[in-house]
Amino acid sequence: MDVVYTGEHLFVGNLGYFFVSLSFGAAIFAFIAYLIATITHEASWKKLGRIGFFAHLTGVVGILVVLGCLISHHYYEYFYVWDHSSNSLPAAYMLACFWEGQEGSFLLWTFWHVVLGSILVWKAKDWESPVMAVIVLAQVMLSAMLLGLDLWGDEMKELGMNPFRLLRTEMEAPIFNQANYLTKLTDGTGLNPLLQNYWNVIHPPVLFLGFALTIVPFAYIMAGLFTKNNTGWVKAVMPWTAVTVGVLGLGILMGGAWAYEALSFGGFWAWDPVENAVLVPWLVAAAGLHTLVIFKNTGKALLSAMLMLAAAFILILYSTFLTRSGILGDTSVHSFTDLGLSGQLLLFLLMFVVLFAIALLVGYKHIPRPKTEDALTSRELWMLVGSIVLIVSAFQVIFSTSIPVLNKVIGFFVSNFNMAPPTNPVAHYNRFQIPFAILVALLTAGGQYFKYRKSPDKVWKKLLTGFLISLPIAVIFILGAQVYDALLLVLLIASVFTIVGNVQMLLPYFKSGKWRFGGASIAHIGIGLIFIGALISNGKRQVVSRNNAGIDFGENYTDEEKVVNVMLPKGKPIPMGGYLITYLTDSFVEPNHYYKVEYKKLDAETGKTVDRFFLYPKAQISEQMGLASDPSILRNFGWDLYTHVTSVPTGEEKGEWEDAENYTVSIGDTLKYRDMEFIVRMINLSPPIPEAYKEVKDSLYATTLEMSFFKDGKEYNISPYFIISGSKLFRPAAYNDDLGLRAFFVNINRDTKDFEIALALKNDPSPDYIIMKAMVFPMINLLWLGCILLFIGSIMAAYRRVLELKSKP
Amino acid sequence: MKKSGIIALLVIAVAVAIMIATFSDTSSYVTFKTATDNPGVEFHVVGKLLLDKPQDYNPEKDPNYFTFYMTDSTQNEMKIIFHDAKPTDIERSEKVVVIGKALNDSEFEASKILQKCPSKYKNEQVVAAENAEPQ
Repeated sequence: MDVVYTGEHLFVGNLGYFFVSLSFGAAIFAFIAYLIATITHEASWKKLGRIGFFAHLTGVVGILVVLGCLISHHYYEYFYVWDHSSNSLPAAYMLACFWEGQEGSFLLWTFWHVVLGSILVWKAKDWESPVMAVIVLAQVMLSAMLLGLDLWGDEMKELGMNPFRLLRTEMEAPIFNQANYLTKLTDGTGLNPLLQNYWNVIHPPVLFLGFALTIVPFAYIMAGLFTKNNTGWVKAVMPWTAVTVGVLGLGILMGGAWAYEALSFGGFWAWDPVENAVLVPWLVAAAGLHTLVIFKNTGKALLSAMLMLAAAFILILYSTFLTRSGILGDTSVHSFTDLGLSGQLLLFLLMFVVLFAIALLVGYKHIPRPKTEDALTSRELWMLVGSIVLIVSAFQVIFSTSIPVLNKVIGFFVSNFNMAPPTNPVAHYNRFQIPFAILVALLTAGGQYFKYRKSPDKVWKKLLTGFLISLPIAVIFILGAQVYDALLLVLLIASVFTIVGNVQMLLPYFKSGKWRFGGASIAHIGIGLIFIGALISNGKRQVVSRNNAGIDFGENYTDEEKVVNVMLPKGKPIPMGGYLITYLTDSFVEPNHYYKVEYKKLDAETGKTVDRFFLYPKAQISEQMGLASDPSILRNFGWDLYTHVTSVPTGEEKGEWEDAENYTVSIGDTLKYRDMEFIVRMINLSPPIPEAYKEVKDSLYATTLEMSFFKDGKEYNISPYFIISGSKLFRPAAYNDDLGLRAFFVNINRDTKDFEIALALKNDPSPDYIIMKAMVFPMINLLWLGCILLFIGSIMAAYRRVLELKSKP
Repeated sequence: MKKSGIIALLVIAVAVAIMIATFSDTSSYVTFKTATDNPGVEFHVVGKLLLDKPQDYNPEKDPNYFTFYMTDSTQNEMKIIFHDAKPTDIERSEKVVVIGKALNDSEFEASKILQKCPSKYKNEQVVAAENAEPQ
């Protein structure tokens, strides 16, 4: 059956696929050329490698441009465009369409590799050939994810997923028997409502840059091992590693801020597998950075640094496999599905693990390993211990996150092996991570007082002084935030000590104007602030929406934490957490429902309003996602009031309806119903199909009658539907919440061209309600400030290392 | 003994401790029978919502009390009690995972509910587009 389709824009897609092929082919070519250049040291091969790389670059940029073109022109014949965008999508979110899909996020990753590769071609000098060989090999693997080649004659087992595949080849539906199907397919399914947030526009590019950056130290290490030059790269890798730690950290921070601001997780961190998967490489990369600094200053611990930095890249690959292979299945609130690339991802991971193992075998003999004991008062000893604590902490996180992988691996030998993750993940991770955090904080503080190799004897006295300065400051926090849990108390003291120790370290630099040496100290102060902010805001988080309506809930409610929702009937003030709160109105602006909630603080004696503000928690209600709730946050200097809607009544559940009154109307009529006037405007023969009827399989004809109601000088539109599907007739009611009115069709009289409609008002004027959760996060701003300092400090440290590169050739 | 040796031993000890502690912290996917045989122990149960049985959510009385009925993979049925707001559109979930413990032989108290949404949704939209009037 050959249908000649009309209206498709096939040329653009073919051009896109040409770029896909170019990027893949050129990457293979560049890999071979750079590999030979590494072995033969011939400049001509290196030149060929460059040509290959720039052809690859052209391919990647070409794919991006073509895909952007398809999305902005709404070419819905392409699956990717149909699946991830829609006509109503604001322009800013068009950008987010790029990385909503699997293919797009690989494209973003590939793009950053290309950018980093270009810098390396320009700057890496003698190291270019071996380093670029590693990078273009990764590009071969990543480009293959976009190929969509049917190598095994099985549609389900294609090599890669072509972002330019057509909707009609992706899905089977009778609509594709029609040559003009595009005239009916006029809109896409749009971007997932949870992802329509500005964080989703800026967060993925930063995070993927962090992902991409981990390959640079890895590539240098591989290059060093194969060329048996294991020390020559250290200086060049220092700034790259510092930037990796800074950018990946910033990416994690943005993810946390997004979760806090836009998703109703009830916090900035939930130990969800997706979060863990990026935290772990960051912890390992941070450990690697510190160990590399040890090597640079003392000539020791090079092997450890190499293993850690390589592990950071391998863990990025492992995390990608975890989150995109569907293996996490039921363990996360995120719905992970296997998108068909799990085999390729596993191959990508295993290939680099094996290559690194081979490289280590080849170059192991040439790694300098001085056999000297570290003095107890040497900085390098405590830095190494700190790095190891980070590694162990990362191991704990990735081990627990990998439970589904363990199930698969152990299940291979033991049948019916199926562990479920801990029922309370937050408690599980905190149990381990709080002690690790204490160790990290103490080492970050104490390490500052020691000198490399051996410190003068007065070091213990200085250390003690620093600790004694920290104590009174810690006491202020402890009393202010009322932290009485023993472990948290210790962590708080240790974190204050971290800040004090690093401020002491920083002051001389500022006095002498050598501020650029202060990067590490600033980053460490950031870590201290992050610990304090996290432990106080989470440890002392208060649920203020406790049910205080004076109803006895019975003995089932001993666990107070569970009683966290409050019901707000429309217009009725409810006391909550020192405020009198009232749910005033809801409004609907496609695609969000906004619930306007008034907060009033009354003076206890005079009863006067001392504080009054509004919060607008919003929610999208879709068939796909259920209720996707966006929090509304009142930001204060010392604390945030965080509210989100947890449940709303849907359509029919709202109140009792009076008996309906029937009217016979025709177009242009002006009539009166109770205290309202209404005009019958027109009949619409092609209205949008209501969600609920989209599942109906039979042919479907929908009509609406568009009417305007006037009350108190305001106009309200209401349009009841008349739907014929096969032999069935549907007359779904249309509602207007502001009027408390519903209208539905009774009949259409074809002869007289008039319509019989029924109108009804709600009995109870305000049966509408929302169920809301409200929490106070104290001192969360310390956390954000800490994250920003961590980023600034890392970038300053990188800048310092770049200057070192230039000053001493 | 050298410091590096001590550190290495400590790291191995902590790593082993972590693995053991993690295994002891894990829950398991079970049927309602196992849950009722071990009342008070927390489990994961995967199953289906029973739509023909009543769901009870009366927020005016108590916004933190929602009950429904569910069957597990062996078609055993239990009443689920959830001390939180009713998850919006839970009726549409193809599959639900409840995490919690059995209170008695007929009631299960869930502390968390994971919903798995229908996956065929997108195909239906193509079909619906086909049925719409040409514009």
